[in-house]
Amino acid sequence: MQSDVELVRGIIEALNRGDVDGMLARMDPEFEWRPLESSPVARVYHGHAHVRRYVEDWLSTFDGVRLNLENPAEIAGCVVADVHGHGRGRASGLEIETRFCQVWTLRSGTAVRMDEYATREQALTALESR
Amino acid sequence: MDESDWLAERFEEHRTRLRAVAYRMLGSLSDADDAVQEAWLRLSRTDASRVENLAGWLTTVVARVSLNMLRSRDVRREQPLVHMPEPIVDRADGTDPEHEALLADSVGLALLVVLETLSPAERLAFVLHDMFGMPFDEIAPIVDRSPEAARQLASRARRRVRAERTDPDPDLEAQREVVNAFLAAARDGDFEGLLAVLDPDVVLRADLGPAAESREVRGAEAVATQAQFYSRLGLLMKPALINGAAGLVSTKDGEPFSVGGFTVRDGRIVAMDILADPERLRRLDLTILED
Repeated sequence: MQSDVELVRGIIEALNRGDVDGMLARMDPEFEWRPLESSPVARVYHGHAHVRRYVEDWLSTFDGVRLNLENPAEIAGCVVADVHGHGRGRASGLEIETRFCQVWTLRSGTAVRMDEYATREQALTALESR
Repeated sequence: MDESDWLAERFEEHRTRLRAVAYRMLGSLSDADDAVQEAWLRLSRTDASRVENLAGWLTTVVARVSLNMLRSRDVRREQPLVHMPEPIVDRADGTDPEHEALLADSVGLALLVVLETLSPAERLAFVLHDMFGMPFDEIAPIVDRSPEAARQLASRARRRVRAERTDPDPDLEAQREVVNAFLAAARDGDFEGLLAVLDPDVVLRADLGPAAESREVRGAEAVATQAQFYSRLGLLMKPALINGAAGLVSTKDGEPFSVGGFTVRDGRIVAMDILADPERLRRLDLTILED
C-alpha cells in the first residue's frame, strides 16, 4: 500500500509534469489548498475546479515550474515537507525561487487538505495547535 | 467561492492601478494583464512580514516584470519605424468605466507612441515617476542605477515626450468638431479645408504591420495629400474614442481597416496615429462596430 509520503510525492511529481488531472486524481473532490498563510493575498482554494484554476494559472504564467520536496515526514497524522520551488516568468523571463513548508492532510489514500507556511517551525506550531 | 471571490480582495484594491502602470509600460492590454497576473502569483508566494508597503511592493514587481518584458521584446523584435501600441477603443459617446479607470490622467495614443521610442529604462523611470509619483530612490534599484541616474533617465524621456506635443485639448466636443471637419474636407477633396485643420507641424504615424512599410509623415501638406489618397479608398468611418480622445474606426467591405487616434491642440490636429495592421486589428476589441 502506498504510504502517505509517497502519495504526496505523486501529487508533486504530477504537478511538476504539468499533469493537473493526475494531481487532482489524488485529491478529494472537496480538497482545500491553503497557499502560504502569511501571504498578503492568502485565501483558500476549495474543490477541484478552483485548485485546477490556481495551478493552471501558475503553469501558464511560469515556465519550468518545479517543486522539490525536502525532508518529508509523517507527523501527527499529516505529511510535513519543506518545499523548494522555482520557475521563470513566461513573459518576463524573471526567475522565481521560493522556500516554504507544506502540511498535507490525507484520508483513505486521498489528499483532503494542504496548508503552506513560511517555515517548518511555523508549520509544526500550527500542527500542534490543531 | 464564486468568481468575484477568486482574486483576493487586497490585491483587487490595487489591480486597476497596476494594470494602468503595466499598460503605460508595455502599450498592450494583454501584456499588461500578463504582468499583473505574474505579480499576483509572486505575491501569493511572499511572506507578508517581508512586505511593509503592499502598494509599493506590487508596483515594483509589476515594473520589474514589465521592464524585463520590454527588454526581451527589444531583443526579439526588429524595430519598425512606427510601432503603434494597442489602442483602447470606446464608443464615441462614452468610455467604458473599466477603460476610464485604466486611462485616468490621460494616456493618449500619441503619448504611448512616443513611449515606444524610449529605452526600457527611460520608459520605466518616466512612467513610474512622472505618471505615478514614485520617488527616484525607489526607481533606482529597479533599473539598477543610482537615484541620480534614474532622474536623468526620466528627464531624457520627458524631453522626448514634450517635444512631440502629446497632450490634447481637454474639450472632447471641440476635438470631435475638428476631426469631423478633417473627415469632411478629406471626403470632399478639399485640400485647403484639410490644411485649415492641420497644424503646420502635424505628424501622421501609421503602423501597417510587418507585411507593409510603416510610415511617418510630417507637415500639413504631406499629411493632407495622404488624407486625400485614403479618402478615395471607399472606407466607412465610424467615430470613436481612442484612448479617451477623438478618433475613428474605419472599415472596408465590412472588415476593420484601421483605428485612428487624433491629438487636437489649439483647434488643430497635431498628431494622427493609425493602426492598420490587419492581424493586430483582428485581436482588438472592436465591439463598437456591432452597434
